[in-house]
Amino acid sequence: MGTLIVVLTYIAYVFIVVVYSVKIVAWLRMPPHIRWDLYPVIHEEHYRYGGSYYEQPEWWTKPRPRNTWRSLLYSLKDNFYMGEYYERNRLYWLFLLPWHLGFIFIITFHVLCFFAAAAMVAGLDIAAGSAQLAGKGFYYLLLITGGIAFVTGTFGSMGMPIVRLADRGLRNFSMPMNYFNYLFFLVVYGSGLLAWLFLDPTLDEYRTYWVGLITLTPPELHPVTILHIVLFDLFLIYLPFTRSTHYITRILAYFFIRWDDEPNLRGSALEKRILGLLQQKISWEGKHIPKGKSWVEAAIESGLPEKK
Amino acid sequence: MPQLEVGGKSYEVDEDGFLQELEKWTRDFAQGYATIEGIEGELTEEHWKLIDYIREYYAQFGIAPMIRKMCKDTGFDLKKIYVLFPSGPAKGACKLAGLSKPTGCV
Amino acid sequence: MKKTVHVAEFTRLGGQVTELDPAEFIALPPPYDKMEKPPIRTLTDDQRKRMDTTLDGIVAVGLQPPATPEEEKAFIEKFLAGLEKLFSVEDNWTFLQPLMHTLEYCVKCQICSDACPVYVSSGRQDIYRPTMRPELFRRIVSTYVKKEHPLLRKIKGSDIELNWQTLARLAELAYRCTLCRRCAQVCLLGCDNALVSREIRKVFSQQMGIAPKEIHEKGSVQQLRVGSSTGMTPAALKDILEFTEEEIEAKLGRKIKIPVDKKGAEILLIHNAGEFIAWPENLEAFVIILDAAGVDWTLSSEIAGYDSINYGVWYDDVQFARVAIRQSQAAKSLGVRKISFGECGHAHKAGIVIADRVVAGDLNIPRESSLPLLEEIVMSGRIKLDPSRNDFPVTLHDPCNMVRLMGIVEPQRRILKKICPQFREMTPHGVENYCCGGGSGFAITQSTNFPDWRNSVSGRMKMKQVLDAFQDAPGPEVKKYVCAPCSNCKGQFRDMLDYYGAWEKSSIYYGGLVELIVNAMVDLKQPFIQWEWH
Ligand code: SF4
Ligand code: SF4
Repeated sequence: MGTLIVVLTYIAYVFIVVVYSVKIVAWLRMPPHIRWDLYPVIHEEHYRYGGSYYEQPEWWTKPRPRNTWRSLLYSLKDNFYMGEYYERNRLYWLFLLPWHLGFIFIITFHVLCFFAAAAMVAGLDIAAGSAQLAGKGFYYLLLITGGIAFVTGTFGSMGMPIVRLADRGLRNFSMPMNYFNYLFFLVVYGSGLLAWLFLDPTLDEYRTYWVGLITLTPPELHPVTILHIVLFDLFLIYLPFTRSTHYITRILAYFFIRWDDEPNLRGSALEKRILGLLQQKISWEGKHIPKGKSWVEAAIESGLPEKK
Repeated sequence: MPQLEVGGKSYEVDEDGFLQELEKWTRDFAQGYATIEGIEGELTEEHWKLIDYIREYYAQFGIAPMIRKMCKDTGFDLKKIYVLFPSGPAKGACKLAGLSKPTGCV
Repeated sequence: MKKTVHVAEFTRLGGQVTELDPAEFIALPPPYDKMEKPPIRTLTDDQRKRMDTTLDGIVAVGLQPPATPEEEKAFIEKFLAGLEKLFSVEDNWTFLQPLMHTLEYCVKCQICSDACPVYVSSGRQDIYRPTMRPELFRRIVSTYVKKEHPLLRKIKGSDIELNWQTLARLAELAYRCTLCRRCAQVCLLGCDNALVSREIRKVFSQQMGIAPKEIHEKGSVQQLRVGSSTGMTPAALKDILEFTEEEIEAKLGRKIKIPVDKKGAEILLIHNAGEFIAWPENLEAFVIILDAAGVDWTLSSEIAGYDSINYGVWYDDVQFARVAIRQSQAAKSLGVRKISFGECGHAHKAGIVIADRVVAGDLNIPRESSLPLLEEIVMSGRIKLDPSRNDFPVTLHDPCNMVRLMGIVEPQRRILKKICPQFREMTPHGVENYCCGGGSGFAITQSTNFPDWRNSVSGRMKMKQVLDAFQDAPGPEVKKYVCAPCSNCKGQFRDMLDYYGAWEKSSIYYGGLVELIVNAMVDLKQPFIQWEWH
């Protein structure tokens, strides 16, 4: 059993990292698009009311100050807060936020476990009564992150199907997969919650598990903890098949679509890319579009006024 | 394409009754259409003055005249045009004059 | 309890997916709560035979039903071939990334629904949800383009069986969204359902040659052929400008020569040619201001050089590129230093922002909005202004294209605050504004019962906002002015105010921004704004 867990965990982590990376690289590798910015653009000086550099006469002669840090914080903020949901559908938010916090905290918890285990291998004693301050700190940190993950995750997974069924719009746009997800995630978090409450109140088993992973020695664990760990590994493998990458792609969409206000200046690298894209052949079949021409040719050579 | 019967003849019009074939226009068409538009009786000299003005402008420039110019050149004010053509200059007068529906951001 | 409309109903043969009931539309304040005429005309039986009306009984595209099963099959196949092109880098690099993102990452949380004025105004009809079009679209893609396994489609609920009727409804539905992108603004996942409306329109246009006549055949095609979507030739332009000069002389007491094709001028002003015909006072006002401020400017008489419009931005990338290039060529041949766009929202977004990645090299001539220039002139004191001449209630309508879509928010406000003592904002405004209801080509779509729909549904939220902004003086005794610095929005206001009888009931008039500036100029003996042209 212990061996299985070690192998499965490694596979799960490698899998999720690889598939997420592939998805994100694929997202980023799509060609530059036509500008489709939407205001407020947060890196802009006048982002408070949504102003842009176009508000100044001869904007191309003026500096365009950009505040990338502000944009980054702004876009990250909603991974933890989901303001629009709070404003627009409070009940939904009440379950959606905990549900998402469950994801964030359970992953944080496991990552912290890894560091804790590494520290343990290096000789740190992690316990409530540890003589080392770091050991004490780690103990409580793990307890808090793990506890929040199990509680919010379980709460959210139970509430989500209820709001989804209660709200006319949400219900109409639901797919069977949504309900499967809620059930599956409920089992994942619920098993963790049970193991924590009834068997392992100090969450010590997870440290044993991670020490086992690091030292490649199959750990000895309680069956319920094992169940939770196996479910969690399956959860990691399953995640890339859901829309969960939106945690990252939403930020990419903000930066590379919604806030992409980069002007195409003469002689720039962007101009070169665009010129290349315009050379590609198009195959649209509308009568007003000539056959076998490139974008440039179609735009310049045809659709000209009739000769008088 | 919808067809419209005017004075016993059939004309090709668009969905809103604007004549599609300018060259088929006759004075009978305008007179016949007047009834459909709710203008009672024979078209008067004033009606014809406006219709002829519109047609002449169109023949020269390929578009309907600006309403302001129409008012200035014919001496009718906007109110008067609405009295003559209750649907107004574009939807009434131009329609009777056989022009197609105005296009673009007008 | 409202009946829920499922996506599956789009595939049902015959019948309407939704019957609109005006009693469900959101309420307007009295006396507008009681309308004398039926809000939306029903079409004749003959029209229903010729054009598909099975979405909501309204016609914008009006596809003609196929005569034979072979025709139906060919239609569907051609459409699907086009759909595939949307996902190819060659055919659709222009919008591939935003499209893919929206299709992949929308979680259908419906948060965007309540941001949509069409959905809300209609009394929350499911078919108008911002998410409905993309959902239908996604299912077609899943089943016919990605050809996902039937089991996977079941799990994802993305199975659909396509017929002609579904596509006819999809085409209509793509023209029930004003592309105002209010929905996109609230999406935390960065999805953009408005873009999907536009991509659907693109498949119909670029692949099938299908688009509302006013937008394509009489719109961008006509513009490229004769010079303007109004049909205005360079000769007609000349005649109109002569008349405009006479009008200016009558109002100002002196003659101004309107510069045309002046080589080497500082600024090429590209104005919406529709204005020249329908709202000549807007051009007159520009001429008066630029002349008084001593600006070195010119108009162009070249094809597309005198009409700022670029309808392609609503439905077709190729038509878009063509017009954008012609406009830049006009500027290049005159050797001007920059292009300035007049009061037209979509032309702003199209010409200044979107064209940016279409024109390159020496065609990439600096392009800007005329609003900052106007602000500079008004603030500099170069022209003498007396705000008391504008002492009537004024509110500002923000064209979506200028605010949410390109961030020009304050210059127009700073001008109004300086010259209109009774200026008041609508709620909400600025980047959170509501569309006038005429966006994405709706204002120029004038056939059958579409204008009724646009006035009573897509423009309803704006109508309410306008009435609310003037609630301190609702009656007809006080003349009021809606400032809409955009030709399209003005077209919509003209139709909508007339539809509701807002002049008779409330003396609400509409017009541009420059008219207010000139109205405040002390040089003019008579008021420039002529209310009788309501
Ligand atoms: S577009 Fe955004 S806000 Fe709308 S349903 Fe999809 S994820 Fe939600
Ligand atoms: S773009 Fe505007 S009209 Fe279209 S769906 Fe979004 S909010 Fe509604």
